Amino acid sequence: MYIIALSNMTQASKAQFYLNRMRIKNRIERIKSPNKSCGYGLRVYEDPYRICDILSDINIKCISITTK
Amino acid sequence: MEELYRAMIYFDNAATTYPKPYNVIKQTLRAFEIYGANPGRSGHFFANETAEAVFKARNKCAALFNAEVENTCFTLNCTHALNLAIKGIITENAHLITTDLEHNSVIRPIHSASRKGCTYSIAKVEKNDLNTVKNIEELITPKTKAVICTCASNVTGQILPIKLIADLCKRKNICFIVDAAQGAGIIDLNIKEGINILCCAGHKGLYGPMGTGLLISDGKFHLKTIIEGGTGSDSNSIEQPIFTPDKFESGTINTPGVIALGAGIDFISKKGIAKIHKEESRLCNIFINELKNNNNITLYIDENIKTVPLISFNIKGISSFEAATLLSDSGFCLRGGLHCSFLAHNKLGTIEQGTVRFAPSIFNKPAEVYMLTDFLNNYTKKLK
Repeated sequence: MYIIALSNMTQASKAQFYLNRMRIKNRIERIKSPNKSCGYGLRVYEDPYRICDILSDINIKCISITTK
Repeated sequence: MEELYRAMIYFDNAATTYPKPYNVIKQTLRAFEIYGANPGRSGHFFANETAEAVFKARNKCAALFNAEVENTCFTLNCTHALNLAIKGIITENAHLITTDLEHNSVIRPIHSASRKGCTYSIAKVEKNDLNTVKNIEELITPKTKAVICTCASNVTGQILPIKLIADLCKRKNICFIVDAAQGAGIIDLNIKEGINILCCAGHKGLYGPMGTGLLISDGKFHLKTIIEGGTGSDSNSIEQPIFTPDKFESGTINTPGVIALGAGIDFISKKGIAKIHKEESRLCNIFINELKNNNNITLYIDENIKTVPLISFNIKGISSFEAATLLSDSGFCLRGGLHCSFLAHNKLGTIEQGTVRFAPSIFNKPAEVYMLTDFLNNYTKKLK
């Protein structure tokens, strides 16, 4: 499992909406962001780099990827 | 009280639309029932479900204006959005341009900025669109930072040449801010056609609840914030987040309101903006045809200009306030006075008397218009 950190809830919701349409399993989670602040991320179960590539299609920038 | 509602005929839709579509009411109640957590703050499932509902509403708002969802910010109303835009764009000694048809929600923040070193000019709106654009262009100086104008007057209904003004602003690299209070949901507005910032109310032509509005940007111009605070993001920083919508949405948003606004947008999307405009214009035409030969009624109309469906009028010998009270006593809800737009009334020559405003919605029926015009014709027969 991986956590992809995103900048805010709107970005996380946009990402989730897009990934759900592609049937890529994901879940929004409240996380400690890479700058040690409050943030939101997506828990994903497939190759996170591939998912970040997919998300770049809708102008979503992945801030970091953590393995869980 | 219920009898009063049954007897009431409501034509004050330029102030706020009534009634609201059934689904708007249903979604408001549903939000209180099942979207009770704070969106964008916590991470538990209840909060995430609420956040998802808010995102869906935001997505609908963005789609209506062909905007990006991230650049679509919820506000309390159109005035709130305009203040964020106008006060956010100004810099020291900036020059702003607006028009002589503006609502106080535009002219007051601009005038307030002039006390802090900014300057502003007011362009004359003419019947001929090219002349209006020329008037704006002539006022541009090297210090001009933004052109702020309504897309349609809330007094005369006149539609301004938004596309032409957008082209001018793009050519001059000036930010173009549009007050879409009277246009959203009535005329097609596309953020990708040169509008840099679009501000609108949720409770008028979008059929959402009061307490909702939108600030939509194309992301090309930087806006400073005038309200800072908790956003649920970047919380360890003393600085406000730089990304939207968080940048402009400090504090908890009106969650039931924005979810219901999404239902309002579903309603107008299903009906079709062109159809809404056509139906309401038809009601305005009935109103005009029934009253145009009445010498005791002044209709402030001009067949040579494009308008949104609203009409200002007066009854001979009485002020607009008295006329609106007279109508109210007979069950008709119309607004009299200056409609918070003294500039437009100065231009129209009605600053003393004000006007009564007839503003139908998609829910009004021709029979209701005939009842109003019959009442006005019968009343004015008694006048000498």
